[in-house]
Amino acid sequence: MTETNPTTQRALRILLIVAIGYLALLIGQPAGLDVGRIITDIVKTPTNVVQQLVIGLANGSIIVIIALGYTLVYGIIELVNFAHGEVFMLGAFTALMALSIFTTTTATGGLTAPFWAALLGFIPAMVLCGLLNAGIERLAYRRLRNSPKLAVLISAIGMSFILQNIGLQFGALGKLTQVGPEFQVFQVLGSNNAAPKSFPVVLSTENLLGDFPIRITQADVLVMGAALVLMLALNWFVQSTRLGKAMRAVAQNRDAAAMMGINVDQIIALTFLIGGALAGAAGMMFGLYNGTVVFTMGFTAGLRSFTAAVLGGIGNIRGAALGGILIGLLAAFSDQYLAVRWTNAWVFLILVLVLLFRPTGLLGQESGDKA
Amino acid sequence: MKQKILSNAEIIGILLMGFVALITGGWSVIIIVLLIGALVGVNTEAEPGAWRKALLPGAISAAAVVLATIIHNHVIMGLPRQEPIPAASTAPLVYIGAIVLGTAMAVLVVALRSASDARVRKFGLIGLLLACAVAFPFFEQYAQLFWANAIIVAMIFAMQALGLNIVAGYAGMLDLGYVAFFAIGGYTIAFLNSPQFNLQVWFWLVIWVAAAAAALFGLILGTPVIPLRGDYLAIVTLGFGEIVPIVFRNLNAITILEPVSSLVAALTGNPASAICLVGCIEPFNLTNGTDGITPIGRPIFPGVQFVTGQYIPWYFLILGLLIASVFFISRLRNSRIGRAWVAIREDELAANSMGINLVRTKLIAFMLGAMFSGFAGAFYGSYVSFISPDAFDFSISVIVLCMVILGGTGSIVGVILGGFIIKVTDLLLLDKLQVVMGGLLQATLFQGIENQGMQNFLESLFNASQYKLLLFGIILVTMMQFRPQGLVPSTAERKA
Amino acid sequence: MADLLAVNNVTKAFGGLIAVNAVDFHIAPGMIAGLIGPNGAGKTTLFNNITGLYTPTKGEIVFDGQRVSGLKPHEVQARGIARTFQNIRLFGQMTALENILVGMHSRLKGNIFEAFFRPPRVRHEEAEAAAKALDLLDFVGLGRKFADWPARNLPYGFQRRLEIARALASDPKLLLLDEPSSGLNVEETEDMAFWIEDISRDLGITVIMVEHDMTLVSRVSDRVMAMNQGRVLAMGSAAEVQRHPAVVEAYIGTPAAAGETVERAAS
Ligand SMILES: Nc1ncnc2c1ncn2[C@@H]1O[C@H](COP(=O)(O)OP(=O)(O)OP(=O)(O)O)[C@@H](O)[C@H]1O
Ligand SMILES: [Mg+2]
Repeated sequence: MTETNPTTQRALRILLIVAIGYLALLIGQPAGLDVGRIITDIVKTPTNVVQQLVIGLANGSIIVIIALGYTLVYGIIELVNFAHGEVFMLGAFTALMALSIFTTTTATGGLTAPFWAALLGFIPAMVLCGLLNAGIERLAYRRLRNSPKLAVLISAIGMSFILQNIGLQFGALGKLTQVGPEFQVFQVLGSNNAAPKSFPVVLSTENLLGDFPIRITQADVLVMGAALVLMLALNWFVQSTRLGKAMRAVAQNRDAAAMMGINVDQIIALTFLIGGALAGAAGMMFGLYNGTVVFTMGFTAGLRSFTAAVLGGIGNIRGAALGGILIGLLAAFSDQYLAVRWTNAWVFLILVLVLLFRPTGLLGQESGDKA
Repeated sequence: MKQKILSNAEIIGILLMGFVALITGGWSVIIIVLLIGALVGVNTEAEPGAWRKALLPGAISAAAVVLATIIHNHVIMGLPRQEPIPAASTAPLVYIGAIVLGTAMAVLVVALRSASDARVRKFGLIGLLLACAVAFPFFEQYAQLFWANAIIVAMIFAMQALGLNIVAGYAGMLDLGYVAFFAIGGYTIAFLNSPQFNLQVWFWLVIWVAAAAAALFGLILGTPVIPLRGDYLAIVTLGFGEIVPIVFRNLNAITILEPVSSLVAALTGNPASAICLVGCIEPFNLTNGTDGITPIGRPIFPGVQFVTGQYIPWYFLILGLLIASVFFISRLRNSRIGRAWVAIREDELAANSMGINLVRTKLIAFMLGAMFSGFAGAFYGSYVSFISPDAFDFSISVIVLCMVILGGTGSIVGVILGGFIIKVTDLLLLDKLQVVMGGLLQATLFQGIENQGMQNFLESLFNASQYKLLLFGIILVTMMQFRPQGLVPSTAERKA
Repeated sequence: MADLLAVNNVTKAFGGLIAVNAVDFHIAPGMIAGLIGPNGAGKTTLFNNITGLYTPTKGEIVFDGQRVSGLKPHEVQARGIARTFQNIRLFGQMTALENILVGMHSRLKGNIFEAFFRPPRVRHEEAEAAAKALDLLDFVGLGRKFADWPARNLPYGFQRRLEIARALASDPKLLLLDEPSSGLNVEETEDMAFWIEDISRDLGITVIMVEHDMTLVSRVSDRVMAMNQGRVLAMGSAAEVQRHPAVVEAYIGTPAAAGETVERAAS
């Protein structure tokens, strides 16, 4: 074999990259990858870029909190907890119900609830989803711990279907409002099981920056703040508490941890509990931020968050944070500059590419960071 | 130990079949007693003279089913909202006949299985099954059961499940985006044989093109994916399965500009100067978006009309395809390549050390699975004469997976059985159940509840057809926990 | 005579752990070689390097005049090296017969279309393969009545023999046995010695065997190599190696001294 000149090699590689890029720009156009239009859009309203950054960060914050649940569970039992997205969805429904207790009808006929109710609502959402997730582990995964990995994954898929169906039929409670005033709390569910449910208005949509062309609302601040608080709390828990250390020990080596006297079952249940609580919190954040929730949203949110976890390096807490923000930004920019209809496809494409070319994710190398 | 008249499997069978009889009624009793009779026959140990042992359990099972039918015909039919059943099916003679028929079936199956001649053992059951399959559509038509559509769709899905069984059951790869290939098959026939592009390519060619297109995409996706770990493979295929419908949904207004010229045009502020490549005068509509494509070409066969509502030709065509699939797949399983798949599933490292090229062998499985799905997709498209992206969401992949898991991964008989159970439940039984529940509610609870809102709520809560996902989810979870080998495990199948 | 297998200065490192350290030896055709050493000595790792499961960090492996290090396991197997595993790795759900047929995979030719249409050539090939597989079952003393038993239902000792039959199915030139007597009782171990001798004498296959049972090793091996901590300690006849001071020292501190049977639980 003849040795090719390194410069020629480099030139060839550059050529290849250019060719692939060009091809992507060609076939990516139906999916919104139209450089000409994108540039025109950006030039027309440059502030919009910053605006998308804000939106992306806020949505990313929610994704981070869901992604943490995937990463914690994967870190400890190497399972893609397929049902996690549905736990999040049920979290949003729980949050909605919690809020609805304090919901009142405004003069214009809209529904509204006080701010403290939203903060209070985090508690039932987190508690119920934590218990739900731990219950799922007990019911559907624990017995399979020594089965082939795919068996647990299939069980998880089954669980996600069950939960989604519960989400669908939960909506039936809305029909009770016709029965009488005693069922007024279910008003928020509307009369169609499957239809999206509107969250009562809690936060003002007023721009905190006044007339500045970039909008930052209470919702943005609340969502990012909540995410920050939750992440700091989780980090403190995992790094500094006895149970957190036990969790890390089980994640590193389950058998060794068991021999050290750690109750592995209990720690795994705890991990699910924490992951579920985070999903519940994310449900409330999502509802407050986006205004509507629907029983099918767990799938998309789940896949986005899972992608985030994988992108950051699954099993890695900091990775989930980084991946979540990146996916949030990607989604926001795709919505604005590519095409809303294609955003999911772009996210999946990222997922596929990461799994193919860098399955360890961006921060995957730092194994010491594993939860 | 006390001798039990009915085994556990038979008791479960009776409960389930009895339940089916309870919600269907009418002439369906004939089919159900045959099924329960076959179950008893298969479940009785084969030995010379064993047919006598099947008499009593066969008669009891058939009688139980008949009892359930009588309850349907004479009690449930009294409820409001029920669909009428043919009067002839409620004659006492029918009930007696059904018991005799069920018992006879049980006895016949046992007798065939314990025949001394090996050829009778081998082909007797197949012949019996074939006879029932051939008789079914004519009986169905006579009895006004309206099951033909569900059965045809079930067969198409069973074909698909057989393909997934190659990938997941034999080679042990969890393909969660299996629906993508079904969609590719369906859209291929929709492009080549519909008014969308005014093409009328010969049907018998198109289905092979569809299968080949699906296999090609299987190759393109499979090549990078196959070396991945099992759970990553599952997720990547799932992502692919999600992308494909999005693509079909949104490729209805394509305009492609030359990128460099478009960039220059944007920078110089002169949009008109961009060079247009595709969809210049008006955007190119490839897939017709969410509206889908209809009508789609039908099979052509001298002397036979394939049209909507005429089920018998479709039934036999697809039955023939299903039989051919079973034939070929069982040959594959018992070939060098089939053994290699199972070896990989059982122990990848050992298989590799025994000389099996992992990537190539898995890729073949992946492509073949895709091909089956594409093939089934083409027939599905042709059968329903309508293709739209909504028919291909993730739940389809899971439903097909559910068929494989329920029936038994790696087991041909099991997978087909699973396909029938799932699809018939999905398309038929849940709706029947809903009608019965609705009637029951109206006749009982609603008598005491005046409030319209409460009635609506209860109706919605007891709406059986809203619980599909729940049912499939429960099947997946419980099968994995309690019977991961499925209803008809593959090793048992081979030992028989 | 030319060497059948040449392991030239092979090193395998896992991160900082050097599991096989500059191992260098040659095996002549027709030989039965014994490989001994305490737990963790690197014996299995050495086998894994030879069979392509690992690529050596340093050094190369030449088999039958061709370099095999760097090839994939199935490519190595196709060149004539077959193996068994320390903790039996049969295809549990497949029948005993099918397990052996899988072993013949690289020797059969049927492709996918032939699997579909089964032309006479393939039918003939399959029939021959099945006949040969039954012969192999006989050869390892399993008997045909077990042919359609799922492998996982076979008794432990039978599974060990089936694994050997599966390895023999590809007509290898070199057979690597990783602790063939582990988990067997005295009688079964005795039988195993006969089979190994038969394999060498009747089938003309060269054998390298990792063993802890020194009686078995002394009985069948033409040559013995002792390893510890990745290094070769000694090579020579069984008696020589057992007496070698480095070997004696390596075994001190382990449950049994060299020369005795090291009882090990099957894992
Ligand atoms: N894949 C691997 N990754 C990291 N370390 C490994 C790997 N495989 C083997 N080792 C290490 O290499 C060393 C040698 O192991 P090996 O299995 O070759 O020993 P052995 O001589 O076969 O011992 P035994 O008699 O217990 O089978 C051990 O310390 C083991 O932990
Ligand atoms: Mg070893």
